[in-house]
Amino acid sequence: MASPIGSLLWKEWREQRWKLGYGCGTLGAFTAIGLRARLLPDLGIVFLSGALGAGIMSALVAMGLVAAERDEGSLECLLALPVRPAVVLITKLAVGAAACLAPLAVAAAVACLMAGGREMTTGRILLAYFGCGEFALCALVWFTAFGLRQPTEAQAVLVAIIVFGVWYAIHIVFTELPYGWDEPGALTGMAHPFGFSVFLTSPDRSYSAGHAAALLAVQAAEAGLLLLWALARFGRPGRATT
Amino acid sequence: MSDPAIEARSLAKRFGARDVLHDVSFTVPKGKTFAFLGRNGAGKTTTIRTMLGLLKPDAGQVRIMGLDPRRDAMEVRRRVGYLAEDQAMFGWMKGSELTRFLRPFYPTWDDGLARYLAGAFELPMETRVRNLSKGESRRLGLLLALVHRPGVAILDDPTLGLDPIMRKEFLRDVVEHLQGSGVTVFFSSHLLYEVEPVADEVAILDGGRIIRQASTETLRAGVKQLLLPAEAADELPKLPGVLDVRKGDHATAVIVEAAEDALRVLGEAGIHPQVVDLNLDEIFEAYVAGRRHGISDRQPVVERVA
Repeated sequence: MASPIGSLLWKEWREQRWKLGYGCGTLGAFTAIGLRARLLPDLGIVFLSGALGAGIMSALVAMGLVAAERDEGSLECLLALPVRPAVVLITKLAVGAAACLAPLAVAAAVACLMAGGREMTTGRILLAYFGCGEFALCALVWFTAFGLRQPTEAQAVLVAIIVFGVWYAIHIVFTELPYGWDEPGALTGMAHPFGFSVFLTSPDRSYSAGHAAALLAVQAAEAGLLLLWALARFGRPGRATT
Repeated sequence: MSDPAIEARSLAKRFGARDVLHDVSFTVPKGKTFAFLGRNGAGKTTTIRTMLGLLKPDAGQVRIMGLDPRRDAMEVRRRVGYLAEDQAMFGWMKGSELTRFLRPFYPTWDDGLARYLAGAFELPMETRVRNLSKGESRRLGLLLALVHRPGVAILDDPTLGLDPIMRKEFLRDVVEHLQGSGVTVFFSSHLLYEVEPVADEVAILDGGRIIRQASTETLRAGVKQLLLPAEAADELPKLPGVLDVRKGDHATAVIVEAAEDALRVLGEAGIHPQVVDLNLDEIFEAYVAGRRHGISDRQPVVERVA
């Protein structure tokens, strides 16, 4: 803890470590049981564990990053420190990202060990979890940005559910999102948070590295804009008591 | 004369349609203890948050040790010790962890002072913050506000929620460890009798406006209650600086800002009232109650009684 950033990272790690441990245990066990039981094809289990892990962990982590501190009242203490609010939020997101990705890494390891080369190649499994990891990061940024001003954790989760519902509605309405840059309305598909993971996990879709890179670039730009929006609002205090 | 430690000029802040601060100006000299008095909702916390750069004023400016809290927010926060009103710290941390967490943010952090203050305040540093009593929690907040040897300590209603004994102990700690150390103390409170023994200077804030700033001695020497026989009230001359008037069956109590001037006017009219000293609490009440009753301090007393 020699520097302010080190200090902030330590604090965030201490606050998120239980969620990280819980996520790793639960998702690893879910994946193992699913693959062992064989109620679904391996692809189904991989997709389910990845999507559930990414969606639930990102919502759980996002609610703890800002809303929990606002709820407890310690955010005021944090914002009054001689450190830029942007640094505070970025360290929060960095630890939050680790807490979202670690369970997916555990699930990927379990899936590779138990089912690598059985119905899917190990490379394909890793690629699927990579897609879910990308979705988890997108979801974390979206949920954090939209839930930033919520006064309680419950309200932050509600916001995450609404955001997720809107994504899902768009996904349903468009049925098959266009992912390639040469398809009409391609940007909608590329900007959709489901885009990259659905693209990677679709068994019938042929893809190229160029397509994947374009999707990643669009989603990174989108996350960057959301982050800027969040940073602009994070340091701004709520209505003061007089 | 050296630069003041804190200077606020014509601060204004609105939240929606509500005028929270209106033309707030005050100056705090270096090394003094400044009490910022006001009822709940008067605008104390908004002023403090503006001073720390946590809120942007709609108009006016603040300087803390010559720095602009909006432009030099990080430097101001490094040089200021801040204890927020009802400050919530990280409940899961132990006191020792909290000091380790905060140390890297302040280049002037003094571990020796932290150990000394922990002992002086009798703080259990290996207990989690959430398990500390209210008094211990406030004392830990005070320790954290002082341990980096700030030039200015801003204490926002620091005794809020403490019982009378804890309040006394807390104020004793403030007096012992801050006064005479060269630290400028800005102390907001709505419990006025508390600030009386510690404050060098007082500003009274009401409805987002500063209605008086003076040293405690000036206030106590100037503001007096004049007790007049009931029959004299009808023949009163115009008195300067009247703050409040209470008419009883047997006597009329008039609180004036400048007792000397009022006594001279009354003496010329052949009226010799009984002069009663007021404590800070009563002085504050006179200023605020007078405004609430619509009594302007420049109106003649007979008109107001009528």
